Amino acid sequence: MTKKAISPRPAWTGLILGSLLLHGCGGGGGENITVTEPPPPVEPSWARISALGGETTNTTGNQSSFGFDTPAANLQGDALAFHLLGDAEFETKFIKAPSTDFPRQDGLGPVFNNDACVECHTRDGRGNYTSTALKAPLGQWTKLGGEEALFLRISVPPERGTCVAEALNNYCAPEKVPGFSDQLFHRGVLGLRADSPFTGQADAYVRFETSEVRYADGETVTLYKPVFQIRNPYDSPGEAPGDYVPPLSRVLQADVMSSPRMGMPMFGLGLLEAIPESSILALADEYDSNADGISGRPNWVFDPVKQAQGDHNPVSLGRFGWKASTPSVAVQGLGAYHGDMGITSYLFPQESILNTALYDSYQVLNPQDDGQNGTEVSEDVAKAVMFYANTLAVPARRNVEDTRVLRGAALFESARCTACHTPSFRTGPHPGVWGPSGVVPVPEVAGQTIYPFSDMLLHDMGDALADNRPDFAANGREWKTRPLWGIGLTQTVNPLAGYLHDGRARTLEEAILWHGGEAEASREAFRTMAKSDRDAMLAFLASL
Amino acid sequence: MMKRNPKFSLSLLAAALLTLSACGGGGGDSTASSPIPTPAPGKVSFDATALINNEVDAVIVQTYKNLNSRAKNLLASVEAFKDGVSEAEMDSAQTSWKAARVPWETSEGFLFGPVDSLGIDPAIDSWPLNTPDLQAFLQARPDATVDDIENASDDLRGFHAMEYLLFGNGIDSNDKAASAMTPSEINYLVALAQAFQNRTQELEAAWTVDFNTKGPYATAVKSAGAGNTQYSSHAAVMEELINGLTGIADEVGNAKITEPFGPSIDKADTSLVESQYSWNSLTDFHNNLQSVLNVYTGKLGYNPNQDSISTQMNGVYAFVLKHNATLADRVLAEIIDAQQKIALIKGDGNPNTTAITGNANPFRTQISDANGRVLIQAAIDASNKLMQTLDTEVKPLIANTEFGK
Repeated sequence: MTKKAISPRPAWTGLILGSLLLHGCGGGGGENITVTEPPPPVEPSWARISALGGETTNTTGNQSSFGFDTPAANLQGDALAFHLLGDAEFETKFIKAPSTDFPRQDGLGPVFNNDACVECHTRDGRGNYTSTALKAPLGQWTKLGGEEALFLRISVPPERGTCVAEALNNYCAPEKVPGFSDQLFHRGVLGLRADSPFTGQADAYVRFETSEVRYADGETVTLYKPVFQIRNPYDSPGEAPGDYVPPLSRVLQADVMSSPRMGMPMFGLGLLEAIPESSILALADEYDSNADGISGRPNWVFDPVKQAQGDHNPVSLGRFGWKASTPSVAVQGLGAYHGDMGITSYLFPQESILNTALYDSYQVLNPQDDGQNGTEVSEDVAKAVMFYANTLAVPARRNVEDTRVLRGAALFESARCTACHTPSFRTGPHPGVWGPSGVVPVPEVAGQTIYPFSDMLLHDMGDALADNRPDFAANGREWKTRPLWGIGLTQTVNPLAGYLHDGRARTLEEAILWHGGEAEASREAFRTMAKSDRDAMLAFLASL
Repeated sequence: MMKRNPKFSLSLLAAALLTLSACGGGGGDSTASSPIPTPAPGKVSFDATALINNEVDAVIVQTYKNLNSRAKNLLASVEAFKDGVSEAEMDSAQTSWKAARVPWETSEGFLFGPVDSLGIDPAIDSWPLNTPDLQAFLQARPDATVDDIENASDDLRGFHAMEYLLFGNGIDSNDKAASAMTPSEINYLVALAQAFQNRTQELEAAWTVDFNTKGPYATAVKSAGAGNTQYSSHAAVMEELINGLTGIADEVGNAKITEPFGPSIDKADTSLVESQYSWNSLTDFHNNLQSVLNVYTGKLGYNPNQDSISTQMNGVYAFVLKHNATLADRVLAEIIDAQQKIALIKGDGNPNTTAITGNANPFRTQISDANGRVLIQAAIDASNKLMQTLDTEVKPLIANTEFGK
C-alpha cells in the first residue's frame, strides 16, 4: 500500500523569478511603454486544427446553441442509444420522495441546490446568474433561488499543514462544517423547514462589486466580482451576519470558509478522463525547476469507486471540478446527483445531510424519505447519464483560416498562455463507468489526439481569484486549468453565461484580466498588447 | 413540459454522419462581407439577411409578443373569476389557459437565447407537478403571493399548476366545476397567473427591449457576423433555425408522444402525458409542428388550407428552394402530414382539428387503446420522417451555401 503525500504550496521564489523573466514575452509590462506593433509571431503547429476532439468532434452543429449537446461523432449502435437514454435522463426533473404518481422521478432533497442536471448545465454548457442578480444595482443583495446554476462549497480549516491521505483524515477531503456539510444547500423540499418553506440549510445571497483595469493604451475594462452572504440558517432561523457577536449559527462562525461553484460545460469529459495519468504528471513542475514562473501540480483526491472496489488506498489523480477535486466523470456526476440534487445512488447511498439536526427533524415528519437505500437514481440510469457525460462531442472550431484568428493563436502562444493551457494530448484507454453490476466501456474516447488547452493541473491564480479554501491538495489560491475547447460558443449556448469558477467574468476579455499568480505574466502580456492584438487573441478564443 | 435538446434517432444520426462527411467543415466565413462573393464550385450563394430579419421579427418576436398578450388575458380571466366565481368565468379562464398555451408550444421550434438563460421553461412549464405538495402548500399558505410562488419549487407553479386547478385531475374529465374551487385555490391561481405573466413579459422584453444590458436579443441575432458573441455568421443562424426545427420534430416524435406511448400497450404511461389535465395534449403536439411550419414558411400562423407558400415569405423554405425545389415542397408536405396525423390520433377521422369533442378521445386514453395506438404510431412515423428530412437533407445545405456574411 502506498500513500501519496500532499505537498506544500509552490516555491514562491521561483514564481517571482519566472514572472520577471516573462515580462519580455509580450511586449513589456510597464505603464509608460510605447505600444508598438510587435513582430509577427510564429504560427503554432496547432493553429489550424479544427477537430479539437479527434474523431468525436461535432462538425455538424458547431455554430449554434446546439454546439455542446451533440453525441460524439463516432458513437454508433447501442452506444449511441445508451448516450441518448442518458441525454433524456439528464433533463429529468426530480420531486420530493415518496411520490406515488411519479416514482421514477422522486428522491429530490431533502436539501438541494437544483432539481435537474440541465438546470445548472444549460444546454450542456455553463450556468449563469439570474438576470435579476445581474441587473441589480451594485451592492444590492439578491437571494439565490432555483434558477442560479451555482452553490457555495463550505468547510472549516483542516487541522493540518501537510496532509498524508488516509482513511482517518478522509483522504484530506475538506472538513465539513459541523451540523451542515461541505456544501451549502440553499434549497429544501416542502416540509423541511416549517419556518421557511423551500429554504434548505440556509439562504444564500449575492451581490457584485466592481473594479477597473486599465490597458497600456489607456482603455479601461470594468471587472465584476460576486460576494456572497449566508443568512437564515436552520440552526438560528432569521440570523444574518452581524446580527450577533459572536454569531449564533455554526455556519456563520468566522472559521467557516466558503467558495462558489458555477455549473460548467459537459462536453469532452470522457476524453479528459482518458488522458493517461503519466501524460499529466509529466507536465507537473511543482517546485518550478525550470524557473519559468509556472509550477503546476496534480491534485490527489478520494476516489469512492476505488473504495467500492476494495482498494486500500482509494486516492486518485484529480481531474474534474474547478479544483480538480474529483477523479472521474462518474464521481463528479454522481456526486452532483448526491449533493446538488439530493439524489442517492450506488456510489453515494446516503442522504447528504445524514447525521445532522436538520435531517433528524425532517425524518421525524417524513420517515419514508430515507434515501431509498441508494436507489433514488438506479444503477442503469446513473450509468446511462455518466456515459452520456463521457461522450458529448467537442464542437469543431469555426473560422480557423481567418488571418486575425491565426494571429491570435500565435499571440496566445507567444504570451505563454500555452504554458498552462496545454494544447494537446493523446488519449489512452478510458477506465469505463463502474457500477456494482459491471463496467460500461467508453472505447470511443480512446486513442484520440485532442486539443483541450489544459494541462489538467493546479496553478496559483493569485489573490484576486483565490477562494482561500483548500480542497484536497489544492490550496486556497489554486485552480485547475480550465479546458478552453468550445469556449467560443459559450454565450451562443447560454447568452448569460459567465466565465471562471463563480461566473464572474462576463466576457472572455474579463476572464483573461482576472488571471494572476502564475498567470500574471501572461495577463500582463495581454494587457500591454496593442488593441488589434488583443482583439486577435479574443478572436482566436472565439474560434475555439 | 418540454425538453430542450434534440435526441436524434439512431438511424437518422448514422445517416446524417454519412451524409455530412463529404460536406466539409461547413459554415460561413466571418471575415467575408456583402456583396456575396462568387460561390465556390458546388456551392450556392444565398443572402440570408432578409430571411433572418423576418424569422426574428415576424416569427420569433411576434410569437413571444403573442405569448405575453395571452398571458395578460389569462391573468385577467382568473382575476375575473376570483371577483365573481361562476361557471361562465371558469370556462373563460379555461379558454384563456388554452389560448396562452398556443404561442408557448409554437415557440418550441426556437428554444435558444433568453428563454433558456432566463430559466423560463422551468418557471412556467415544469413537469411533473407535485399535487400532494400543492395541497400541502395551499394549506400552509392559503393567501400565497407572487413572491411565494417565485420562491416555490418548480413543481408547484407554471402552466401545469394552473391547468390542474382549472381542469381537475383529467382522469375521467377535463372539466371542473367552479364550485369545486376553494378560496385558497382561487387565490393561488391568480398568483400563479401573475407570476406566469411576469415571465412572459421578461421574455418579450429580452428580445425587444434589452437583454443583459446589451440591447434587444433580436438585434444580436440579426447582426450575426464577425465579432458577434452569439452568432459569428449567417450560417450559424441558419444552423440554429434548422436545428431548432429538427429538434422539436424529434421531441414530438421521440419523446412527447413516444414516451407515454411506451413500447407496448401494457407499458403505456399516462404520468408522462403533456397537458394531461386539460386533454390539450394533441393540440400541444400540433402546435409544436406549427412552430416548424411557421419558421419553415416564414409566416406566423401559416395555414395550409388558406396560404400559398412563396419565397416572399422569407422562411427557411426560400433557402431550401434555392438548392432544391422538390425538397422544398416535400418538407412542407411532410410538416402538414405530421400535423394531420396528430389530429387523427383522437380517432374521429378529422385531420383538421385537435379539439376533443363528440366521439373524439384524448391522447391519454388513446395510448391504452389498440386502435388508438395504430393512429399514434402513424403520427410518430410522420414526425420522424420529417425530422429525418430536416436533419439529413436540409441541414447539410448550410455547408453547401456561400452566405455573404
